[in-house]
Amino acid sequence: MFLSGIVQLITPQNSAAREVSLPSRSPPTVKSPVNHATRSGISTLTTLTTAALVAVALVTAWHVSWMWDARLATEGSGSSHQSGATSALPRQERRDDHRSGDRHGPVFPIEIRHPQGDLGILVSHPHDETAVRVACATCHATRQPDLSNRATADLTEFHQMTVVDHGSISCLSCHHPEDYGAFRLADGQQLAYRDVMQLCAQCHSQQKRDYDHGVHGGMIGHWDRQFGPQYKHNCIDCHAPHQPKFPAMQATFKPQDRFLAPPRNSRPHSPGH
Amino acid sequence: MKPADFNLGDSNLFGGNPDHPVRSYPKFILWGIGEATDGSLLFYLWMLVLTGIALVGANAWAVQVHDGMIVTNMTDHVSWGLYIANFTFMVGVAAGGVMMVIPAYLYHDKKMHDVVILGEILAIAAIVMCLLFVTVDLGRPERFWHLIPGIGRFNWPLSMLTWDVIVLNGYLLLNLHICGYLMYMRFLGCKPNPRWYVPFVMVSIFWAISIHTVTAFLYCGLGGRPFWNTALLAPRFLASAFVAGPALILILFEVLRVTANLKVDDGPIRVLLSIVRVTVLVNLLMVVSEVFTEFYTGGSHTASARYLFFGLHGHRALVPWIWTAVVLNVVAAAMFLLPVVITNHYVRVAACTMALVGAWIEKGMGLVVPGFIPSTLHEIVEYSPSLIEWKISAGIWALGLMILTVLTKLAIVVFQRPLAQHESEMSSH
Amino acid sequence: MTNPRRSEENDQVGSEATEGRSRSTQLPIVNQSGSSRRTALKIAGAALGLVAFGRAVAPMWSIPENISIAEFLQRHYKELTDEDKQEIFQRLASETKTRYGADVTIVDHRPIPGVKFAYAINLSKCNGNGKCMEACHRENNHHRGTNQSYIRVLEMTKGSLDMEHGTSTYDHPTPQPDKYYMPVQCQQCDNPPCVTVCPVEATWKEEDGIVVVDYNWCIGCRYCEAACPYHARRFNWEAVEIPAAEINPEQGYLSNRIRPQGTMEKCHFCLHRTRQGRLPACLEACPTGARVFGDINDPESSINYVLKNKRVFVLKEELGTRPSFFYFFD
Repeated sequence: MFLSGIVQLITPQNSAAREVSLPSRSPPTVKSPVNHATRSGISTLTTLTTAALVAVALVTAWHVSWMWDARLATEGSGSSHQSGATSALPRQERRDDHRSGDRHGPVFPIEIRHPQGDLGILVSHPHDETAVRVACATCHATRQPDLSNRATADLTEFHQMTVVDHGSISCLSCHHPEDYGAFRLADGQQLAYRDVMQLCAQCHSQQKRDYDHGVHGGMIGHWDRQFGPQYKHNCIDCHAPHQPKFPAMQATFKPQDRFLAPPRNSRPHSPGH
Repeated sequence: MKPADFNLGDSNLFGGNPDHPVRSYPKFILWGIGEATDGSLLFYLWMLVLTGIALVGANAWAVQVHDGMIVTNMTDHVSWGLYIANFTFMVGVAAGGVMMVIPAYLYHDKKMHDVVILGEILAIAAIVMCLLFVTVDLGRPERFWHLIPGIGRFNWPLSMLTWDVIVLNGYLLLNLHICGYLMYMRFLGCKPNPRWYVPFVMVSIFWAISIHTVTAFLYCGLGGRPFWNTALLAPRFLASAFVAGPALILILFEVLRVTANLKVDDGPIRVLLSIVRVTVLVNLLMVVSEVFTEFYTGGSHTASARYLFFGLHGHRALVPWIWTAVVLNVVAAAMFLLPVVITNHYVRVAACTMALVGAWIEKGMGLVVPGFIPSTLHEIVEYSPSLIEWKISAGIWALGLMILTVLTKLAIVVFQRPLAQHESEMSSH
Repeated sequence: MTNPRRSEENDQVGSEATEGRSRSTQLPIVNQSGSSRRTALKIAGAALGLVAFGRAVAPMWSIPENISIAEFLQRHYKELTDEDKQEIFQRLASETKTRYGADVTIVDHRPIPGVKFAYAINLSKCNGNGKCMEACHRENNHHRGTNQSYIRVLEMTKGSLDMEHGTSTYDHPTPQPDKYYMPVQCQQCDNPPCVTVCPVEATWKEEDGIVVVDYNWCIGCRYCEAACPYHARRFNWEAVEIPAAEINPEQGYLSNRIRPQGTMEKCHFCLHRTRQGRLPACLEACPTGARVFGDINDPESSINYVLKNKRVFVLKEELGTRPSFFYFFD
């Protein structure tokens, strides 16, 4: 699958997933175990003592969870968790945690594949026509930006053929005029290439919000991160930055049931038929 | 109940010795087998042909079990076909026999009483066919034991299919008992004890209604199939059953008149004809009201009806079937209204055959199959039975006819031999 | 009835009985045996018929080799002990080895306590590329001949939820401008019609909401297939054909093990994966990210985010099946 082999651990300060998942998970950490405890039969216990015990358990659970995340946050900068699926606690132990009703105990991270290398562009190799990736800085390090250029059509030397179909934004809405190896946020701040999601999120906050909740962009790995990590794409893995519309596809796998009629669209019928 | 009600001939003869029948019933059956397999050359030829067809069917079934249901033309879209269509029709025939039982036992129609055994025999043959049609429709027939309460897991009362298993087997047992008891008693020359059969007959009347109602519930309880999901289905099933059953019995009378020289009194024929005369019209009325509701309302729920009657998006495999059924039913209904149907054997047999074929199409290709077309996702996959399906169905029909022939023959032998004196007594009344 | 009458009856019964007995001895039971030639002919005919029947059903004689006694007598899943299961799983694995040449492990995955699964599909995102069908096909060891899968993707006409204006056999680049795409698979109903109608309880709903089939208990009557409003059930019309190299060896008894001929099967949310915390195969394969899966009991799950924040609907809600499968638009 297209996501396979993507194992790139996030760094704490840039982790889109972590930024959202940490604060949003903390309050329900207190609430949701009650649900699960309730479901697993503790609802029958109604005395104050039980409530107090539950409260203590919850606080402990929350604490453990916080500790665990904190530990990951500090360790995660290196490559020690690249094989996250097999790391950390043995599975049986995690299952036990799980079954105790604490669904928010230690969890594996959401691992987002960040863009690699330098910000660049694919150009055809002059000899064999193969695509070669050239860093923007190769040329732009020595050229002065012309802030009056708004579209590729305004350019006179390079990039004229680059088709940009991305709203009404201009090149320098995203590209940093002083450092072409980086992006420029709306407030003028410089942003590293690998943190491109933050750039997109400025306008596409709804998509970012969905993404942070696991509802945009897809994923592989585990739905329950107590069993293993989740791996996700970044924005520009699926959306070409200059033409972000998702490309058309051709379905290659069709059902071949017996006697199933040929495509009906070969003989279109009106909805009023 | 007044004892006199069940008193056919002389009131001196009542019941049987409780010891006697049990001990020699197997002997009676042995004798019956011998007697029922004696006959003319024509009889042997008839049985030989039926045996041949049944063997072809058995062979086809063996192929189907071995190769899988892929040898049928059923699909995930049309997952029930000719077998279940025949099953539904035969349940109707089995239930239709009750139209002889009701006049005979509830209205004390003496003439009908004389021939009511034929209705019960028909019910036995029809139910055996039903059970066989269900069996050949199973993907794993060797797991039938999962259906046996106690040994398997019987999803009763939730699954309507378990209800059907109960009512069909119950009806079979009821009729086996009634036929067996009456014939045995007549064989012994005893007057049957009403205690041992009248309650069963009464139960069987309600039971006959129930087998077809339950079979209709099998379909009309499915919310995902709008074509079946109508409260009118059970009444419609009953109405067409009360066409098909009596029609088949009327044909049987004619066959017996020619082959066995058995002259059935005009009385029962008139009663059955007047029943069919009404039920065929009631059935048509219900079909018309269904069709009206479907087409006047419109919408996507009528897709199956549109497909059935006029074809949908160029698919029209069932259109010839249903219009054939409509024509047959309407012509038969008209013929039943003519007085000539009573006097003229040919007209009567023609009308009955048309009504029978009409009911068969209406319930099978006209009801079971279009329920699946278009599919629940509105995909259109058409269905026409494969050769294997036709072979297996023909085999089951042949077996059913064999059972009917043998039992009818036995009944005639039994009822003619000791009855001679009763009949003379009765005619002197 | 009065007593005198009854005694009178009894007398009559007695006399009748003797009369009956005497008559029965006169009856032609004896006469029959008299025509011994005819009886012999009949017996010969019956024997001939039996032989012919044996020949007719000859294709079935190979079946006992395919179905072991252990399989024939196997109890319902819910009645099996752990030892029974181990024995059965080993038998099934060795059968797979014999028939398909693949080494597989069959496991009995049980629900995770407290979890109830739900699925949602973003119809604004799905572009009908069919990767989910393909992934299901491979993951679940489907019959190769028919491109079988538990998913059907319908190309629907914009402005209508009426599936009459949809087709699953489209063959052109997608998405088309006036179309949207709706994958349909088992909706894991909370009120599943298929479970209600099954005469032998071969299909049932588990605690985590997944409707499963015991492929070794199903009798293949296909009533569930008629009852399902979502065309979610599939029948094994023939023996599954699948090259050994393509067999997914990680198998669950109630999920993706190779199904026997003549039984029903259906989508089980990849329970051999999801009950181990993994995502379903169709979700992982989706290039558009249209699929969302999770625990509906967890208020923080993505599925609950969808339910709270999106315009969600279920298919054929009017039927009261209460699906655990949702569709939504952005």
